[in-house]
Order: sequence, then structure tokens, then C-alpha cells
Amino acid sequence: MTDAPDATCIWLYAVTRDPPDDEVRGVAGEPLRAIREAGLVAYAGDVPTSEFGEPAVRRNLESLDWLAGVARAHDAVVRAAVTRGATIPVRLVTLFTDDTSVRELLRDRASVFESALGRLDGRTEWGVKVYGAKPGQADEQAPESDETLSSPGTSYLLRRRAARTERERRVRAATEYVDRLRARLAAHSVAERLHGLGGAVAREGGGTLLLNGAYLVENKRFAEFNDAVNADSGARDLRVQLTGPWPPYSFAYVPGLSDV
Amino acid sequence: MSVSGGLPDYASGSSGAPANLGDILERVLDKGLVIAGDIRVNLLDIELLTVKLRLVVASLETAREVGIDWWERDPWLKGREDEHDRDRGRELEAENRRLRRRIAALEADDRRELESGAKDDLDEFDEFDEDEEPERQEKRR
Repeated sequence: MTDAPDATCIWLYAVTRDPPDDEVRGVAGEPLRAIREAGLVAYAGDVPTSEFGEPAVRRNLESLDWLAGVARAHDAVVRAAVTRGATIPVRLVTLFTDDTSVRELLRDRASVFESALGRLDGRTEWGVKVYGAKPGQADEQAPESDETLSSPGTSYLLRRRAARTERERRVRAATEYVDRLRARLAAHSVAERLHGLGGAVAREGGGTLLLNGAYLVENKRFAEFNDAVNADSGARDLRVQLTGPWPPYSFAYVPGLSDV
Repeated sequence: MSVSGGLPDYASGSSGAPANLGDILERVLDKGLVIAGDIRVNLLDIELLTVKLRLVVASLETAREVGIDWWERDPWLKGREDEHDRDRGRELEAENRRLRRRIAALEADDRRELESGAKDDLDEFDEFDEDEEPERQEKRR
């Protein structure tokens, strides 16, 4: 596949019903094309095989700089598609050799794509994250022990114990908070999908990530969803963050298609 | 944080927090519809990449703010423009090797000393403090 120096392959961005905007550019700066079949439109771009084909793409994926640029460009195209109507985002690095195979895909799976698009119509993905207390914060705020009656050693141990009890209380309070939040969000969304918490490493703003959820929300019910995000101010050391709107990446699963 | 006309504002992303790179990568790499294209890029490779990203990218920006920079030494995250750092890494390695050689030499000297004249001094130690000098005892035997 590395035959001609100017050889191209097809990078797939999204499946929708409406053709792309002329001004949108793809991951290689290329203009987008609509590959149409069975009432569906695949957003596609002709990208140089020397950079995006196998094995070049595998090597390039190892570079965070390259990956970041391509990810943002891919996301921008999918976002542009979403502004025009229901869109199924396609995962990064979905490559075809020619239009024919893309058309075949659309034709063979037309009914599945249609039902997926129907499910996404008028709905938007939102991200909700909850961050725990910043490291060290819990210890600083531990209650003071009674220092008058104890030796330095005893008072140290008492402080340690108080800090531990306080930490346990915080963990319990945080868990309950997240449970209440998820229940509220469930009532105002169509679907939930939980993303990885990345272990203890996924920290942002210094706090541990406690919830990383994606929610598919009816556009006309967003105000209620937004209220549900902010309704509970019960946990002062937790931080709730709403991200989005997102193209429905987390809800693009189409049964029976992923295992083609 | 309001949405006008029922349709969220994708262009500016003004409704929620601005999308950071970690969030974008998590979605475009790990979510989105998986279609087996003509050109197969091993999905496992991409999934491994995603795992690594989860561990790293989500915390990248903030971690840098608080001065944590371990990924600066991770070749995968370093990208291309790191000739300088690689040189520095080689310097450190070389220095490390020099120091190891020096320590080995010193230890060898020490052993030679023990085997010759210093033997008598050590016998005194042994009389009242065997536990605290197990290393010396071993070397002596």
C-alpha cells in the first residue's frame, strides 16, 4: 500500500444523513467528501497513505504530538457533522482503500445505522465528572485534638487517628454524593455510560476523579439535566464539572456492527 | 450554562467546560463506532494506547502545574524534539556507570584492607557487639 508516493486512502469520520459543509477540513487538511448510499452519508477524506496508511499510521500513533493534532481535527469534523443533524461518530483510524467498500458498508448495514441515528436524533452527549478533595486537604482539615491533656506522642497519635476517621467519613460522604448525583442524572437523561477513572493517577485540579460519566440527554431537556448536575451542594470538598456538548461518541455503539 | 433554541452550541463549546485533550482522546480513541475498515490497524494497539492515555493524559496539564514531570522521561510522550534530553540522559547513564565502577573499586580496596592488617581491630568489636557488625563479620570469614 506504499506503492505511489501520492497514494491516498480514505479516512472515515462519521456516518450521518446530511452532506458535509464545504469549509470543513480533515485530519490531513483535506476537503471532506460525502460518500452516499442508501440514504446515508459517510464523511470521508482522502489522506496520504505515506502518513495515514499502514504501517505509517501505527508509527505515528506513538507520537503524542501527532495523535493530539489528528484527534482534534477528527473531533472538529465530527462536531461539524453534529451541527447538521444526527451523527454516528466513527472511531479514530478507520481506513478504507476505496469508495466501493464504504458504500458496501452503508448498504449492508443501512437499517442498523438508521436505527442508531434515530436513537441519537435530538439528543446530545454531556460529560459529568466529580473530583474529590485535593491531596493533603483532608489532613489539614482534620479536627484538632485536645492537646492539654496529652504528651506530644499521644497527641500525635490522636491527631493521626482523627485524620483517618475524617478521611473515612469523607470517602463515605463522597460515595453517597456520587450515588445521589447519578440517580438524578439518570432521571434526566436517556442513557449513561461510565468512562474510566484512570486509577489514582487521573487527577485534575489536584483532586481524585470519582465519577467520569457520559450522558445522552434530550436537547429540550438539557436545562433540567443541568439543574440536576448542580442541585446538590451537600459535599463542599467535591467539585462537579460538566463537559460538553459532545458528539455522541460514548453512545455510538451499534449492536452487531462492531464485530464485522 | 444555558442552551439556546434547544440545540447545544457546538461551535464555541460554551455550555460546559472547554474540551481538554484528555477528554477528546478518551472519546475518539476509546469510544466512537468501531468499523473494521479495509486497512486494518490492530485494535489491540489502539486499546493499549488508550490505557496508557487514561493513565497519563488526563493528568498531564495539571500535573505539570504542580511540578510533576515524570512523563518528561517517557519516550512515548516525548515526541520528536528531545535531542537535548536524550543527550542529557546519556550523560547521566555514563556518570552512573562511572560511579558504579568507583564504588566497586572502593569496595575492593576495603576488602583487601580487611584481609590484611585491620583484622585485629575487628576482633575487639566482635567481643561486645556482634549484632551491629554482621557485614564486617561476613567479609572477614
